Amino acid sequence: MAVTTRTDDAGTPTATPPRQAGDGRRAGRAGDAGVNVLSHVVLIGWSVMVLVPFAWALLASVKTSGEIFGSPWSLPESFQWSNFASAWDKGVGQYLLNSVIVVTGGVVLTMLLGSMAAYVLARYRFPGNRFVFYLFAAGMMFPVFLAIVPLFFVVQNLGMLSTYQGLILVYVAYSLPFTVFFMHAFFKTLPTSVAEAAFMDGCSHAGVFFRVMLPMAKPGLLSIGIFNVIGQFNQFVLPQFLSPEKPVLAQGIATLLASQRYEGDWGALFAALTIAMVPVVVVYLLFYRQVQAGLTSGTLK
Amino acid sequence: MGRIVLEHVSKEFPGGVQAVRDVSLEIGDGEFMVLVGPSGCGKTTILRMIAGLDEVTDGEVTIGDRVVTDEKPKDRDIAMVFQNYALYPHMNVEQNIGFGMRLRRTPKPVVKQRVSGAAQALALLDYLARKPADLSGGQRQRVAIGRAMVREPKAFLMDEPLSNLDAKLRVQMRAELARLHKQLGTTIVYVTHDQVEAMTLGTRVAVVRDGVLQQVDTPQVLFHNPVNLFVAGFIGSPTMNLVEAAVTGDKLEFGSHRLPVPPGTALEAYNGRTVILGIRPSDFEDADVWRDERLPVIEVTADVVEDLGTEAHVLFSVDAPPVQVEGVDEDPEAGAPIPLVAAEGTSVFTAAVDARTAARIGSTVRLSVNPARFHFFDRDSGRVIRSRPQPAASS
Repeated sequence: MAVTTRTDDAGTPTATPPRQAGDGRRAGRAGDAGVNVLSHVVLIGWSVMVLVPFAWALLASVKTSGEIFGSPWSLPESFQWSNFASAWDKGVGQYLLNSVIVVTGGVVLTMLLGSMAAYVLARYRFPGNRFVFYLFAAGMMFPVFLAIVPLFFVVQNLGMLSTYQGLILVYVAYSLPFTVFFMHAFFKTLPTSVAEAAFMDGCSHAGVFFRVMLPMAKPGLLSIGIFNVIGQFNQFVLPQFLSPEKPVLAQGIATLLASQRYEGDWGALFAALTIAMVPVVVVYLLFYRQVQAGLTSGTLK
Repeated sequence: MGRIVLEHVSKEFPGGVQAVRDVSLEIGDGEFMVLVGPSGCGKTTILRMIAGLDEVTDGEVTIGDRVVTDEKPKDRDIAMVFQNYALYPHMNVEQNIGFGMRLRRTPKPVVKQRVSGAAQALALLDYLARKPADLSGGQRQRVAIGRAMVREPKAFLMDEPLSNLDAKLRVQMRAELARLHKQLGTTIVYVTHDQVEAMTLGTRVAVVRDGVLQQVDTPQVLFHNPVNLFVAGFIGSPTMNLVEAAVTGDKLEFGSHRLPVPPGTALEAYNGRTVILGIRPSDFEDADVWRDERLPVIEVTADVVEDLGTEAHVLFSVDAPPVQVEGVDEDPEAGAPIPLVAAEGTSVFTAAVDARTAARIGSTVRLSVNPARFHFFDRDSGRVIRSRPQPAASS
């Protein structure tokens, strides 16, 4: 099976999946079309993989337990909106609130501190600049599981176990490395002359950052913001250890799942899952256009 | 008020690159000073040091009556127009222009009034609500100038403001800038690599090479009295013809041509040696079109004839070694004809003659030339050999 090299002289993108390697020597449009079809097949396959479980969970959230196990894909006899109510009664409301508070605090702080650190690292020369930057980069490679035990004691000693601020601080620490790394690259691409123009116009360093550079970095902020919202919203391991008495949504669902083995209210479980998914989907749908528009439009020519 | 003085200013970048060496320059109030030179010669660094964007390694910068060497850009009361406009992309035109005033907490009605005043002067009134991304290059440039204007600074600093515009717009904006300068009367320091811009805009022009000031004077003096080979080669389009010429008695010899040494030149010391002879293309004339019996005539064979309508450029080769001036031919955009690749030991000359010339490719052309307009340079130092009291401008 020729999966190694592809001697295509048509200038096709190198990201071609290896499956196509057999018919590689077609030139020009034919080759491009082949890649096009193939990439769409892959994308469609991927979409199916993502959408089917999503649709299944949505559908199951309005069914009775009997219907869920009877025929997974049929529509329910009547929509069981009560599933959501019973999920809410089982504590999902409180879990959601916890999640929202922690993620909001975590993301806002991450973005503020991350972009500030990234800007300084990208734009100012000072001794130790590279050291700090690589320290952040190294932080990306540190696995959560390795840190869990010491982190537990740190948070305990701070008296912040099962508190919002404790989780927020840990989330921020864990999100900063990638945020700094990403925003650093983004600030590097922004033209220096705009900042200089702002200096000439009378801005202070902080003024240049908040009034000019930060607004210019909006596309990058949105991308990394969505990334952080999703990442922090989906946290399970960290809150499981650090916030056992104030569970966030991921923990709540796990608790719910464990208890369903005895209660058998699967509809409520799926309703809780839906509640967990909705904020993330909403955030994405709200911002994806801006992210795309921001990334494609040139700010300066 | 808007006087800018540089005293023995030097700039060394980290890594040891000496960008500017001991530059002393006095720019008078209301003057339009153009810094011109090939790319990388340090002219932009000089401007950035005046602006305060680059620190001065050595020397002193004075703006108005204050020494500002160690002051921040915002405290120097100057405005800058950048090459790539550097507009704030997230603000509309009105906000862009008014940004500096808002920072200084100027009362809102005043901001509004000044912004609309500038917008009117720059024909931007219809675009105040637009973002920079929705403007054309020329409009963006005008916004950048407007942003500088409303601040009413002591001086404008402009860093190649026209180089991102297309040729036609560039000529238009050039005229616009000249008009603005006349109208506002503010000191302008203007950096360009385009000697045509320098000649047309500058009250005075400073020619910079390798971080060293070569000559600072009015465009006319630079053109007619260059102090060295570099200035001679850089200023003027087409560029000055330079060739090595032997001095024997009262004759000048280059290639197969012999011309009299013009009276009053100080070439005695060079008798029997070679000097570098410089002849402006415009100092040639087709002897069959404009007859002046007093002027010597040389006969040449035209290699190329470029008829520009207003004048014709006759390119011919001279059988003498060419003189290369480092850094002069670097800019492909300068608009000078691309020099022909001369055969070993021959130079290509350009003569700008009347468009009625009968010269055709391969034909023999009789060119009259005025020895009184010759330029002589020392072969070793490249400095001009001072000769005669020069009329400041001749036409």
